[in-house]
Amino acid sequence: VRDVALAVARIALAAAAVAVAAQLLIAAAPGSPGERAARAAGILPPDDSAIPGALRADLVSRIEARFELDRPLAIRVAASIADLAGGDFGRSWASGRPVRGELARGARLTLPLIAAALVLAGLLGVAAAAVRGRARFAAAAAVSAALVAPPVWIGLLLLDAGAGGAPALAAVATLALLPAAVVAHHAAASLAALEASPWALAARARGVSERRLLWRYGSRELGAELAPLVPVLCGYLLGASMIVERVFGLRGLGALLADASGRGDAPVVVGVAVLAAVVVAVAGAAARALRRRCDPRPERHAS
Amino acid sequence: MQARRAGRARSIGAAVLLAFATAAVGADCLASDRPLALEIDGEICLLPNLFSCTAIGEARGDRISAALGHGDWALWPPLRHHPEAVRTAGELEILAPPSERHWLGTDDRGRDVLARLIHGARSSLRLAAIVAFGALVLGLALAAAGLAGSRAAAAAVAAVADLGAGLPVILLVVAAQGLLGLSLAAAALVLIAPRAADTARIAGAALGRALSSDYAAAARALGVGRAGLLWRHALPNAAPQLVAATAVTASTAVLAEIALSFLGFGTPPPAASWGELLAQALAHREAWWLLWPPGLCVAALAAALAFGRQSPGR
Repeated sequence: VRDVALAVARIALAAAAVAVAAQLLIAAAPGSPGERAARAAGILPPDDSAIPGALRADLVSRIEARFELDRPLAIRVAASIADLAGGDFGRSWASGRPVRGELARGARLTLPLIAAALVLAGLLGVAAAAVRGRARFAAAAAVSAALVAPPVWIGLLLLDAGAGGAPALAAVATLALLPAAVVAHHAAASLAALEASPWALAARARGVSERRLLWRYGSRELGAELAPLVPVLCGYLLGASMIVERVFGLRGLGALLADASGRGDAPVVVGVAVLAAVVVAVAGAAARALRRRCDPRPERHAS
Repeated sequence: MQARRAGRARSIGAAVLLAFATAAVGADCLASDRPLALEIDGEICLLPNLFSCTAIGEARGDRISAALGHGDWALWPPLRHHPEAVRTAGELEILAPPSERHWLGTDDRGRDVLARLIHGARSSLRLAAIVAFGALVLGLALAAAGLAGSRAAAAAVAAVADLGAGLPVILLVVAAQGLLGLSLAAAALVLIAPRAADTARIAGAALGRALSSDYAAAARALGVGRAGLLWRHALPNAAPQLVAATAVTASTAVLAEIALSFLGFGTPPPAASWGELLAQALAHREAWWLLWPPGLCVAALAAALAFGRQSPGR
């Protein structure tokens, strides 16, 4: 129970930190938030020198009242945290619709994409690490190539090869490439450590078969080694999905963020950033739980 | 054997990086529509591609060739195209495949792809240099403040490092630009913050280790002050870790610039960037000359950075 409470607190803290940083950035940006909201909504044109000052002030004050931007900064920050706690992400400056709905629509595409890429990367990576015999060199070469392959280019090449017919599959394959290479590196190290360990020798002496050794002991060893990678790879995948979604024309969180950012639609931008922080924090909590299950010893801190 | 192979990979990586850096620094002398030197009407101009020259004024490309009379000469760069020049000899060649005039073809505005490739290296490396320098200086300052006992500096480092560790930089930069408005300065700032925190963490540990060593105690006994101890003794000993951290910063920034320019949030147009070329390749799928050259360059750069980053003795 204590662990769960701690994990929830960590996730909430990450979301709150991003939200506060975002509110401070909104306040620090040039021009008043009301003006920028009016521009994002298309009420003020980008060049508003032709609009009389009184009309302009009236428009801006109306927008400020609508999005509650006329309150002091401290109140705005506190209100945004309180709203977030209730699951309310505010309204889009551009469309006026609740941000929550737009986030849900984007997440429905992007989160399964990332999860599938993570699973595929795990399978491919462990398989590449477990390959024995001659295929080993081919696997090592593939891992090295995948490690430096830029997702932009790989995606475009796949598109050229006719992968546009199944964009989601192609996106998952493009996303999984680099994580698979990272997993393969760590899995190879952990399997090598397993083979050299004294307890593997003891198990073999007791007549445990190689396959059983790998299943029974190797899976725990691998779980403990790979668990800390999950949040890091989740972060990478969230960033890379922006590019991959653009390449394959998918409308997920990445496209939502890029569009909102181009328009200056701050509430949507903040929503995506908070959601990303929550995803990474949840992945971190899951990784800690997985690691503790596989290896109950207290964490060794890397020197 | 393995050490030798790693050493060879490192030197190949370093050679590729050096080639890209040379292209970036010397872009104006490799690809320009103004000569490196010329003599016109008895007046000699040196490097009119970089500095203004009264004899030819603002003339470019074929207009200079046409103005050259008997006895005049001009020394041209290897590639006689400016990365932002839309017309070649007065003609508009849009999405032209590679030819004798345009070795790697032209883009959707008729600009020479090879010239944009060479100048695009500059966009990436310039941002990387700014971010690497900023993160190193800020990180060292925070580490020094932390060592001097500033709780606030240590807390700031821990908070930013924790928060920045998992979040993807591309997403953060695009988000920050949405909140602050499009600018490369905002991008640089967002790239610097998490890397500065990481550098501060690494520098703090390395400097602390050096300060608690026997030779630091000996220097202290000799009457060396705290600042002198940090500067003369601790900093040189922490140098390898600092170089490694800065290399990570630079490679993050280089690849981030390409990704951001692809998304339209990086180097502002009309300046050249590899990411922008790849974005054009997405819009014009039939133009393979927009896809392969920048793609291969990005892959070579990523590989060189990965090889070069393997520090010796690991």
